[in-house]
Amino acid sequence: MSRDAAAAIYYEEEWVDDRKEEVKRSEEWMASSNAEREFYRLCAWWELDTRSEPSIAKIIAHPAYREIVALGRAVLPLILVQFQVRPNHWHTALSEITGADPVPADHAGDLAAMAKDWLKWAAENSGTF
Amino acid sequence: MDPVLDKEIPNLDAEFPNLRASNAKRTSEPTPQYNCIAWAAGDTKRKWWPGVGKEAFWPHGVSGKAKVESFIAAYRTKGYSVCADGSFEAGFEKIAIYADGTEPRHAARQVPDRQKWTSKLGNSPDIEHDLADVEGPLYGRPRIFMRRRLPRQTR
Repeated sequence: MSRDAAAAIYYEEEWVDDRKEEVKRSEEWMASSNAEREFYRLCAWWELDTRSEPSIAKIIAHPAYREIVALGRAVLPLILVQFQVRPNHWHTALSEITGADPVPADHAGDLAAMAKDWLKWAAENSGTF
Repeated sequence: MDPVLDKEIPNLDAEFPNLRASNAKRTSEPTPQYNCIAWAAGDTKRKWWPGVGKEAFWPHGVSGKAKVESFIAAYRTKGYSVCADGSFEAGFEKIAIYADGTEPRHAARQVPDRQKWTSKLGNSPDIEHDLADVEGPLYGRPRIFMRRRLPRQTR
């Protein structure tokens, strides 16, 4: 094989690898975008269904909430933003997804304080998700 | 004009079929910071509910089961004791624990000056109302009444 032919094959393979990488990135973006859309759909369902529900046990057992937890780490940043702008019972979801619990006992039930605890945790652990 | 009181109560017909703008009055902005159980106990900093870990405060030493008995014990820590009914008694403040069967669903607190009750409806606003206004499929009915003596007014 001539040197030029070998170089052509090399560059063709590189081109194919680049395209594969683009497709992979595109698929990841699509998956992430779908997770985001799904997250906000589930949030809306959960908030509407539980707006007057007194039992916090039932609020965090709601099927939409369970589906959000099942989305896993893909929606961690979205939950953290939501916790900050619309404080709600996100502590359980965050704990179940990350295995962490940065909330001190005396913040129990104080959603604003808990949101701050989780944002501090996120800033300190941003490399892990 | 009061920017809070002039707003209408959100449409909650499905949850509270007895609730009418004519017999209930909105008294706050909506907030998720406290819930009905905390509001009845006079706590506006956090939510109260048993058995949900750090999602809610629950008094130390009180059973974490969502039973009427646990709620009675929780309000005892705030000085309340069980009484016969929700009638207005001079010098006392009362609370009503609503339940559906044995499952507690809501708590309301008397506003003695106005012979009304005050409730926090989930993440919706606080309202003043009559006892029956929030009865229904969501909260059940008032099952237990508790009272505590109001501090004497100093002149």
